[in-house]
Amino acid sequence: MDEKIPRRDAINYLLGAGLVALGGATLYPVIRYMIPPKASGSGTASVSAAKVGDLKPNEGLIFKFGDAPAILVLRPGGDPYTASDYVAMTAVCTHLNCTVQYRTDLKEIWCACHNGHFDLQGRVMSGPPPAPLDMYRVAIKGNEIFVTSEKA
Amino acid sequence: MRKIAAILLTIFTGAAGVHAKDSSCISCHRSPDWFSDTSVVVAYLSGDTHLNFGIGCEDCHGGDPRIGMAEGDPTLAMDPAKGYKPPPDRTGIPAFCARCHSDIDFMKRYNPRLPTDQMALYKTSVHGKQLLESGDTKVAVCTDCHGAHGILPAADSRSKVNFRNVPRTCATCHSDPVHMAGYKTEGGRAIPVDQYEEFVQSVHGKLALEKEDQAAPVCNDCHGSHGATPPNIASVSASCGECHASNRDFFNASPHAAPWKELGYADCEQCHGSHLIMAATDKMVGVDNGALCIQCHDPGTGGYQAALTMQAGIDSLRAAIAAAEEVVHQAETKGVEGGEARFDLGAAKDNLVRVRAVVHTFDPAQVTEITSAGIKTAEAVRLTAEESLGDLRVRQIGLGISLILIMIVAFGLWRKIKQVDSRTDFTAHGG
Amino acid sequence: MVDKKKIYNWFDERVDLKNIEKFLEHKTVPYHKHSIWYYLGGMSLFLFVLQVLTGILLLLYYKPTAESAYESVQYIMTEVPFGWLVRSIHSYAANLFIGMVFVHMFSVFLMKAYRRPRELTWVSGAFLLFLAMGFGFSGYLLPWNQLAYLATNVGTNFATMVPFIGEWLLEFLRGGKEVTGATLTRFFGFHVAVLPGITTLLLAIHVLFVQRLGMSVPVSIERQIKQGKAKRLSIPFVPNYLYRDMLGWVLAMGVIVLLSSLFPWELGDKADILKPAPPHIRPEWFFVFMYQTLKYVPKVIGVFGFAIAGLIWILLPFFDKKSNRGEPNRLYTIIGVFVIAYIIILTIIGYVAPGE
Repeated sequence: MDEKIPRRDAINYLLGAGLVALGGATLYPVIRYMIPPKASGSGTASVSAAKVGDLKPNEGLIFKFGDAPAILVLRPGGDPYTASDYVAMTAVCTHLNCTVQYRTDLKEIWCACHNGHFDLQGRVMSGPPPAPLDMYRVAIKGNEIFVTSEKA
Repeated sequence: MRKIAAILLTIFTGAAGVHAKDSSCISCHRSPDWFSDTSVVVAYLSGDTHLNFGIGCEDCHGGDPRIGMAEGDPTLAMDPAKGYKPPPDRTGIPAFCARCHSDIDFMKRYNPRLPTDQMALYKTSVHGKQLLESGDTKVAVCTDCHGAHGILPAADSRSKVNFRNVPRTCATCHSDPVHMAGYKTEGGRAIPVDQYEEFVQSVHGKLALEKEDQAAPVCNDCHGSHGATPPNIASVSASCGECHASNRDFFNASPHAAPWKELGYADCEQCHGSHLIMAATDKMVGVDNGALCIQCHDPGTGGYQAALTMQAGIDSLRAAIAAAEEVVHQAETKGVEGGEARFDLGAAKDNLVRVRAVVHTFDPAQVTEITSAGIKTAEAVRLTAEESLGDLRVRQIGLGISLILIMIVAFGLWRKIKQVDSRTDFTAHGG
Repeated sequence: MVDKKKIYNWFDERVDLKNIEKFLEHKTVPYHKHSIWYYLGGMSLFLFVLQVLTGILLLLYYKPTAESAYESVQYIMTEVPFGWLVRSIHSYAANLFIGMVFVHMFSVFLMKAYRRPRELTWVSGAFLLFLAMGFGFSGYLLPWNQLAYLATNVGTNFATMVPFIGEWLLEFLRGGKEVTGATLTRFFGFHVAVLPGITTLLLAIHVLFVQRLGMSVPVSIERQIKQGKAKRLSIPFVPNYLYRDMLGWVLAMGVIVLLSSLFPWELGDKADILKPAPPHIRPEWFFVFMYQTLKYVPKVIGVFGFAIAGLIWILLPFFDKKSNRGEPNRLYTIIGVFVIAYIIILTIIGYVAPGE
């Protein structure tokens, strides 16, 4: 009998430690899962495009909006802290789906593929694009610039 | 009171002209008792743009519409002494319209943005020259396209000059072999009458007529409307370049530009055609069957080699994109890729779109530069997607750890079961 | 130092711990050569709890609309840490759960464990199986992928076979005339609110019955004991039986984690209402035997046949006089084996036979 006691203890320790470790191995993914990931949520409704200060006046930035690129521009002479000084629109050219960019020299949105020009309201100024770029709404919350697909 | 209302009405409908209700022209010409054909007035009253601006019959035709009816003698209104002029014949129509439409000050009062150069342009057009210099009345005058009474603005989809209807309007004469018989090009060849048939099959025709895409060109976008002339060889690329600007620029700077001039080739048309322009394909470039390059460039020449290089570049870019898409799609359906790869692949697709324009430089170096960049992107995306698919390896480490723990616990439980069973009397029932 | 005794007493005074302890101490489970089948119920319960827990986790990120359901599942699988694991466990455990409930039911049937006085346990269990299938059917649509969309189209269409209220039932299920985002939202409601509520209640009743009546000993063993050929054996529920249960659960967990990690549940292509249906649409595996049958018999007869067969299946215990007397009932055994064989064969045919 006396010999059996340490063996029983060994099993208890093994089982206890195993259960604790397994519990930990279960809890770890669960807790990691519950902490929302850095990337913004699914869907295209609203996206944090940049932080205030990321853009200087007369600068543009391409960001991922859903699965498609979008562009955020701080107007020339605009105030980085004022939402209405930013414009955001889809960066998918309406001609052949190339990604457009902001031309600081022209102060226009420009598509490199076929030299299409858009104004800061997304309207076609010249070149082959048949339709304007869809505009998005910009809002600033705290330090972050949010872009929403709701019509601006 | 009624007088005030009438004055107000006059003000609102425009200063000039007598309101239709009070016009003896309208009253008389609308009445079937007086006229068997009332279509002129009916057309005018059905929404003629002049009517909407308050321009009455007398503003074009002269005379005094305020008299005639009461007196019982309609001819009083059409007294030449009151400025009445009989309607012009075909030769006189352009000048008749131009009295107002070439008058900048007059037009400003109604439609400041409407151009006033129609007559000037018309004089430069083949139609205008034939009419005014050769006295040929078979050619188009203003009313043939715009109508005479019941003229609608071009933006109105019912107008014969609306973009949807322009091809049909031009075709009225230009597709009629009888009408066109006898007309020759500058080079002395008979003018074809199949432009309309060709146009409706073309990429432009399909867009404009089937998709009702206002951005697509119809006849007048290349040939001009009031100044309609065939674009000559020198101006073809200018016409096409209105929309296809980058292609025009690339072409004009390309090694093809000079020989094209020497050979008298009509720029874009040489490869793409004119009325029957089809959507361009990648097959047009290269040395395979159906490629255009080999029509001039024989094997063994530098041009042939260049075509081969450009074809290879475009083909490998397409292949790289297709391969990447395949893997990305696989990764997406497996749920290991969430759109990031597809987003990145967009850059490679941009390169493909761009190279299709840059190919008009006919410079293998420039083409290859873009295709290589695209291939690099596509390859990187494919590798990332493949990695994501293989990312299951990272998961396997975690899996290994948890399986080991599970085995330990299972082993412990098994030993424990043995242990408690050894101390249990199975025949002792509880309860 | 906290006085353990004091805490114990505090609780004991309020919830009568001593009685619970006594109850657990004395609870035993029969022990014989067929007692392996006893674990299936506990295993089903474990899998159900696993479904509830992973289901709650999925709810943190899932969005039940046609516009974002697929994207949200994609987001869970690719962006959320261990999201792929949670979703895969939920999917694998769901299938394992339904399989386990099936096996549980047939083992009960073949051992005639439903016989007096356990008829109501059987009936409640049968309804739990239907609920499990309802869970499977409604949950399958939630990722809003093409296969699930088409399968739901075909599946809900059978509602029209119901006389008089068929059309109404179809619209009730679909939330409209067609399978759309409205169906998705509706199925989501069924899946996370309606079904869990009913199931929890029924499950409590089911477990309570098991508890009140204890485990049934198979007729053959009972006879052997009565004839003195075997001894009546049993083991304490705590800890002997509980350890065994836990061993099973841990091993099941291992299998699920293994499958989830090596073969994460696929996401498929997003449902596209405009895409034509591919030729070989198949419902989920546990519906295949019914779906395949309907290819051979007129649909109306088939649907009614299954409804009536299901009803008879539920009511069979009430007519099994022989088992109630403790005598072996060959006929019922043959019926059970036939039903099992029928389901297995038709399911296999459904998977190997070329589609129409």
